[in-house]
Amino acid sequence: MTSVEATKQRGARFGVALLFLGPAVLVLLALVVWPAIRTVYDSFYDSAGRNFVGFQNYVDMFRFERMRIAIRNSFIWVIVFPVLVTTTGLVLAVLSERVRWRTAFRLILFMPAAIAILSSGIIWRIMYETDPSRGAINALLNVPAAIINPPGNLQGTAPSTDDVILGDGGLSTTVEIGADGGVVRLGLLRIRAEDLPESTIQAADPVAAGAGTLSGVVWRDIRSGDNQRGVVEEGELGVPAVTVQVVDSAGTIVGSAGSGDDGAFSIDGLDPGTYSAVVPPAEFQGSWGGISWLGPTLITIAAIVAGIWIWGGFALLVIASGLAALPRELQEAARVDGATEFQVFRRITLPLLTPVLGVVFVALTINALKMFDLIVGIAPGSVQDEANVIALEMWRTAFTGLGNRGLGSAIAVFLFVLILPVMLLNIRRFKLDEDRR
Amino acid sequence: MTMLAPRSAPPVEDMVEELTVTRRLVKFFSRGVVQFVLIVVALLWMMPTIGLLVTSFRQPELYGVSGWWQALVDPSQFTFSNYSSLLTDRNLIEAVISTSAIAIPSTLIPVVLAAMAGYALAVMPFKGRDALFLVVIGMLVVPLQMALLPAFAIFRGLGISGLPAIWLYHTAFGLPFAIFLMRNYYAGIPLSLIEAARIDGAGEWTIFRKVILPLGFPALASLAIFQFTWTWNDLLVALVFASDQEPMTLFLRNRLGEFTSGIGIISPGVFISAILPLVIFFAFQKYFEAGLLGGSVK
Amino acid sequence: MRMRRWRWLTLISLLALVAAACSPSGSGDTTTPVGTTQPQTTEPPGTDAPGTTAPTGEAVEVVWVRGADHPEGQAFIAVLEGFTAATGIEVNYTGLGDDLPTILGTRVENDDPPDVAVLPQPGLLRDLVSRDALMPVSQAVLDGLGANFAQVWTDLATVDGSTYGVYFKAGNKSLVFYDVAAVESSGITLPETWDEWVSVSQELVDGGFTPISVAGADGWTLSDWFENVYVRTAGPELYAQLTNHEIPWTDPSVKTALETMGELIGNPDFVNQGTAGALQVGFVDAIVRVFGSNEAVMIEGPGDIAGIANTEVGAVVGTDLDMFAFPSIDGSPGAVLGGGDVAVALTDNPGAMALLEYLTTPEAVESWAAAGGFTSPNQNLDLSAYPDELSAAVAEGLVNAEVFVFDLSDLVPAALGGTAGAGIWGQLQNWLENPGDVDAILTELEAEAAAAFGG
Repeated sequence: MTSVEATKQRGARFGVALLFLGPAVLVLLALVVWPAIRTVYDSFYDSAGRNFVGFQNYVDMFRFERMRIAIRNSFIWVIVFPVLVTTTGLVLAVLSERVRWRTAFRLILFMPAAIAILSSGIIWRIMYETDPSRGAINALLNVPAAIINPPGNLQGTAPSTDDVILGDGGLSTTVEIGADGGVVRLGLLRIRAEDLPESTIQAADPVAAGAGTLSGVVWRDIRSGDNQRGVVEEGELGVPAVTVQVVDSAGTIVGSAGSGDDGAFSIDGLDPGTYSAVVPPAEFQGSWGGISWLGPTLITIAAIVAGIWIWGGFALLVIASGLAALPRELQEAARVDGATEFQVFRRITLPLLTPVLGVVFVALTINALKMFDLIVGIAPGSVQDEANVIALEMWRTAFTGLGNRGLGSAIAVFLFVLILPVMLLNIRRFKLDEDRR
Repeated sequence: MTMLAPRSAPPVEDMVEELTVTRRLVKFFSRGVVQFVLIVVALLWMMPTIGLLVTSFRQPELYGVSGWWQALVDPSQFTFSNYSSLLTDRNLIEAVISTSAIAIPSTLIPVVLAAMAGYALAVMPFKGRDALFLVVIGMLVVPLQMALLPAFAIFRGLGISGLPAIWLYHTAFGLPFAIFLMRNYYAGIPLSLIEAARIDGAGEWTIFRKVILPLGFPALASLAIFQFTWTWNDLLVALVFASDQEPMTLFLRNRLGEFTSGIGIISPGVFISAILPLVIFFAFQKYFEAGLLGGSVK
Repeated sequence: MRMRRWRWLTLISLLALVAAACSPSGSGDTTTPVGTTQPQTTEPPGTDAPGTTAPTGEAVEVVWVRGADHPEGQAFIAVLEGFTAATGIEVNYTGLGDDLPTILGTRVENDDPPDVAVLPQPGLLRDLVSRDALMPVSQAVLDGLGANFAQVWTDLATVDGSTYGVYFKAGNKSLVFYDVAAVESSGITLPETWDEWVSVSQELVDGGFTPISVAGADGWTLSDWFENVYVRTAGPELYAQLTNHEIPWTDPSVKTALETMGELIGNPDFVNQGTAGALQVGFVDAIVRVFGSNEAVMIEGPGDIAGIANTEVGAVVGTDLDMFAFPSIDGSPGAVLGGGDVAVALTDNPGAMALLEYLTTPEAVESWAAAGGFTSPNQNLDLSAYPDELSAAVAEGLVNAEVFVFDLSDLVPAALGGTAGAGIWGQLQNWLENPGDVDAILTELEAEAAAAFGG
C-alpha cells in the first residue's frame, strides 16, 4: 500500500467515523459542552444574569452553614455510597449464583429501580416514621424493647406534690406510722380521666385507721375548675390497680397493696416508724418513642440506606451479568486443584470481574454526586438543611423563587471542580485497562 | 487460557462424583445458610414496597393513626376506593401517556446514537479517537443541573419546546454513559468478524447494520432499560421543560401539596407509575442474562 | 423466534403510545380553556382548543398554583368563567403547582410570560418588578382597589410608587383551632391573653393532655407563630422595620419575641411529640393529630385548617372543631397576621388589565366564598356569602382587624422567607430543635438576611 493510498484510506475512514460520531457529538456539544461553558460565564454575574460581579458568588457561597453541611454530606455520599452499593451487589450476586431461584431474587432486588426516586423517598418516609406504632422499622426494633420492658400503666404521669418524688426507683414518699397508724396521699398529674378504667369513682381521702395500718390513696389530683394540689377534692378520681409497697429504712419491702376503684389502699402490720411508700418503677416504664431516623442527626445515613435499596439491585444485576459472562472453566479448574470457594472468589472471580465493578462504581459515583430527588423525597422540610448535598443546594439556589442564576451557576461550577478528581481517576483507570488489553 | 478450558472440563465431572460425604454435607449446609440469607435479604428488600402496596389499599385516614401492617391482621381496613378513584382520574391516564411520550423517544434516540458512536470509537482508527473518548468519560460527571438554564435559552432560540426539548435534553445527558458502555462492549467484539465482513465487500453502514447492531443487542437492550427507567422516573428535566406535559413524577409531586396529605392518591399512583418500567424490564430481561458487560469482560 | 416477535410487538406498542401522546386529542396539555366543560380533558379532538396553540387574539392566559382538577383550581376557574361571561374575553387557565415561581421566572427570562399570574407570595411581586416584568395597574383597577379594599392591600402591591396587583384572596393566620371534646372534658376556659394561654396549657398537661400540635416539618407554620408573637410584643412599627431589614434580626425585640414564644412552644411538655419531635410533623399531619388521633388539643394556623380537618378526618365545625383568636400579649391590640394571593399582569394584553379590574369587585369572588375555604379581603363582600359562621368569622376578623400585618416571610426575599429548610423557616426549625439557643440562631439568621437583602 503506497502512502498516498494509506492517506486516502485514512481520510475515508475519518469521514465514515465522522458520520457515525456526528449526531452524538453535535448533541453533546450543543447541550452539554456549550451550556456548561455558559454556566461558568453566568457564575460571574448577578442573580438575574445582568451585572458582572466577579468572584462575589464564589465568596457568597461559603457564607452559609447550609452550604458547608452540603459539602460535608456530598463527601459522605461519594465515599460511602458507591462502596456500600457495589459491595452489596457483589456479595449478593455471588451468593445468588448458588440458588435455583436466582432470577426471582434478582428481580426482587431490582424492583426499586423501577420506582421513581421521588416515590422511593416517599416509601422510605413511611418506613422511617418515628412513632413505633406507625413506622415499620421502629416497630421491628420495638418488639424486643416491648418484651424486656413492657410499658407501665402510669407511663407519662407525674406526681402532683413536691414531697412525692418520681425517679429511677419509681414513685416514692416518706410516711410516718404513729400510734394510730399513718396516712399517705399519692397525687398524680398528666393522666386523662378517660384513660382511667370505667369503674373508677371519686377518690377517697384516707383517714388514719388505727395502729399498724397505713391508709392511702392514689388519685388524679386535678378536676375542672379550681384545684388544690395534694388535697383530695370533690370531682377528683381515684387511680385504681396501682401497686403500692411499703419499704423500711433497710430497703426491705414490709407490705404491699393494690389501690381500689376509689384509689384507696391500706397496708396492715406495720411497726411504728419511718417508711417509704413506693410505687415500683415498672408502672412508670415509658413506651419506647422510636429512633428519629429522619431527624437532623441520622438523616444522611437514613437516605444512604434508602439509596442502597434503590441502587443495590442495579449493582447486583450488572455484576451478575458480568459473572455469567466469566469463563466457568477457570474456576472449576481451580476447585479441582483444591482451592476453597473463597480462594476461587478472591484469586480468579474478583480480578476477572474488576472491569464490571469499575463500571458499576463509576455509575454509582455519578449518582451519588447528582443525588437530589432522593433527598427531596425523603427529608422532611425541617431537615433539608441537615440532609443537604451540593447538587440539591444548587437546585435550591437556582430554582427557588425566581432563582439566583449567578449563585446557582457558581455552585454548579464548584460541584464540577470537586468532581474533577473523580473524573481524572476514572480516565486514569480506563487508560490502565486499555494498556492491559 | 481459554484454549485449555474445554480439555479440563470433563475431569471436573468425575471429581464431582468423588466428593466425600463430609464435603457434601458442608456444601449442603452452606447452601442452606446461603438460601436463608438470601430469603431474609429478599424479604427485607420487599418490605418497603409491600408497605406502600398495603398503604395504597388501606383507608387513607388510617395512615395517621396506625402502621400499615395493622391491615394484615384487620382486613377490614382494606379498600379499593383509592384505586377506583385514581383510575377514573383522566389526569392520571394523561400522565401515563405523557410519561411514555417522554421516556420512549428519550430512550431510543440516545441508544441508537450511542451504538453508532460507540462502534466508531471502538473499532475505527482515526486521529484523536482516544482523546474524544476521554472527553466523553469526562462528560459522565457533568451534573444535569449545570446546563438547564442555558439549554432552555438554546431551545427557545431554535424554537424547540415541550416534548422535543425533553427528548433532546435526556439524549444529551444520557449519551455519555451510553457511549461509554457501548464503546466498551464493542471493544470486546473480535475484530476478525468485522474484517471478514469487510473482505466480503460490505460498507461500514452495512457492517454496522448487519454485524454490529445484532452483536450489540444484549448491551443495547440493557442500556435501553436503564435509560428508560431514568427518563421515566425523571423529575428535574420534566420540571423545567415540561411546560405542556404533566408526567407521572410531576403528577405525584403536584399532589404532595401542603394542603393534602394525599397518601390515598400517592401510594396507588406510585404503583401505577411503576408498572410499565417493570413490564419492559421483564420483556427484555433475557438480554440481561446475556450480559450488559459481556463484551468488556471477554 | 418467538422472543423476536415479542420484541417487535413491545416496540410497536410503545411507539403507538408515543403517537397517542403526540396526537392532539390525547395531549397531556394541562392548560384549561375556560368555558369548556370540566374536566378539561373532555375537549373533543378537532375543536378550536386555544390552550394547545399559541394564545391568539384577546384570550388571556392565566397561571396560578392549583391544578384544574384541584378543588381550589376549580373554584378559581369558576371565577374566570364569571369574567368571561361578564366581558366576553376568553381565558386559558394553567395550574403550575409549587414550581410556579421557577416556571414564571424562566418564562419571563425568555420573553414568553403569561398574561396574568396569581402570585402566592408577594415577595415574588417585588422580584418580578425588579426584573421589569410587571405592568402597573390602570386607573380603573386603582379605583376598584380604593372602593373595595383597605389601603393596606394597595400598599402591599405597590413598589416605588407604582401599584402592580390585586390581592383578591387572603388568609387569616391569627387563629387557634381546638378540639371541642378535649376542651370540654378537661374543663379549661379558652385563653384571651398569652399568660392565660400558658397557664391553660399547663392545666391541660396536668390533666393528661398535650396542649399544642406544632407542624415543625413545615417551616412556614413556625414563621406564622413567630410573626404573630412579634407583632404583639414588638408592635407593627418594628414589624415593618424588621420586614424591610431596617433593624437586624439580632435586635433585642426579636430575642424577646422568641423567648416569649418559647414559653409556649419551646416547652417540650406543651408540644405534641416534644419540640424536637414536632420537626417531623407536617401541616396536615399536625391537624390530623388534633382532630383525628386526639394527641393534642390546639393548633395555630390559617383558616384552611377547618376545611382540612373536615376532609381528612370528618371534623365538623362547631361540634368537633372551633377556634379562638390568637391571644393578645401584655395588652397588645387585636392583631391579625394575613397572607394573600396577588393577581398581576405581565403583558399589555388589554384583557389582562380587564381581569384585574374584575377581580377588585365583590361579585367576582362570591362564588368562591360560597364554595368554602376562601377568604376575601374585599370589604364590600357580604359576610353572608360565606358558607358557615366560622368562615364568616374568619373573614370578619381579617377585614375588621385593629392591626393588620402581612406575613413577613412572604414579604422578604424568597431566599430568606420562602425556602424550605433555609432562612427564617430553617432557623426557626433549628430553634424548635433547641429553643434555648436563641442568640446563635439569630446571628446565623441575620447573616442570611444580610445576604438576601444585599444581593
